[in-house]
Amino acid sequence: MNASAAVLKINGLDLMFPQSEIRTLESASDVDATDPGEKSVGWISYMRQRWPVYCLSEQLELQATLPSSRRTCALLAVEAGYIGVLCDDVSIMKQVTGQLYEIPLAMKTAHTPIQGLFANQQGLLCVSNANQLAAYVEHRIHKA
Amino acid sequence: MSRMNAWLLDFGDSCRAAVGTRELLHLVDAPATFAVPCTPEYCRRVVLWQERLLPVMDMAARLGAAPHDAPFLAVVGYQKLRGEYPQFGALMLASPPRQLAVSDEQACALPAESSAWREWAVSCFELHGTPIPVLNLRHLFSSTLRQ
Repeated sequence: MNASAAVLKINGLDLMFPQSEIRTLESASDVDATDPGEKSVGWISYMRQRWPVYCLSEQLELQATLPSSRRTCALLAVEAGYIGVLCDDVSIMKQVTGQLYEIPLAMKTAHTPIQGLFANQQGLLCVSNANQLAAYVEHRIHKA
Repeated sequence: MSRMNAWLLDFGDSCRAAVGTRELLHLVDAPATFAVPCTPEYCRRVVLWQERLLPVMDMAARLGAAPHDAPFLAVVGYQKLRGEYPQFGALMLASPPRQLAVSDEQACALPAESSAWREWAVSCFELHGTPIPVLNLRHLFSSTLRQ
């Protein structure tokens, strides 16, 4: 992996995305909680439109209530527009050096947004991308 | 004197099984493991071992018990096909493994109380009146969650 990456921190989970997929970072207080969409916690405005914002647990379950630690909303670019994901913090990795591993076969599940695991000096990070996360959220919404 | 040819593994929750002596490669005490979301509840964690990333299998949970933490990990090796490079995995253990000498005369039926053993065991032997399944490691670490 060479391109820079953004790491969304969600209650101990480090979720790594290509930095190019992060459009903007907003304060969680900017999320409009009025009349939220299905399984979302509200809306964030960007490019004169509003986009759904989701709150995920460290197990990537959709949460209806917003923990106080989720202070940042990362807006991810997806095929159909954008989605907001609440996280505790976001860090940028300019130099992405480490070892990328596949998810072991016995651990694979359908619809997982985790593409692999990335080991570096900070520990192990879960690698995802915006479209895969959006598809996973969509699946969870309709499964519920 | 009988030759030691098996390791007896204690997965906790009264769940025990065995592997061959050559299949158990390393015992890790107080392992540092890492949880991965969206994984089966019986295999939620990974461990870094000799620059490899290994799945950590909770065998008791795979047989229906509640998932739990374990003080030990047994690193095991297996081959998908004879002659191929070995693959590796880790099994959560409640206590250190114990070596056994097992003979053909000890062969018996799989435990009747859990039909799941039929999928994960290649054979079974009797130890002090208790059936001890012998794990099919290749199948255990190569099968994905049925959804």
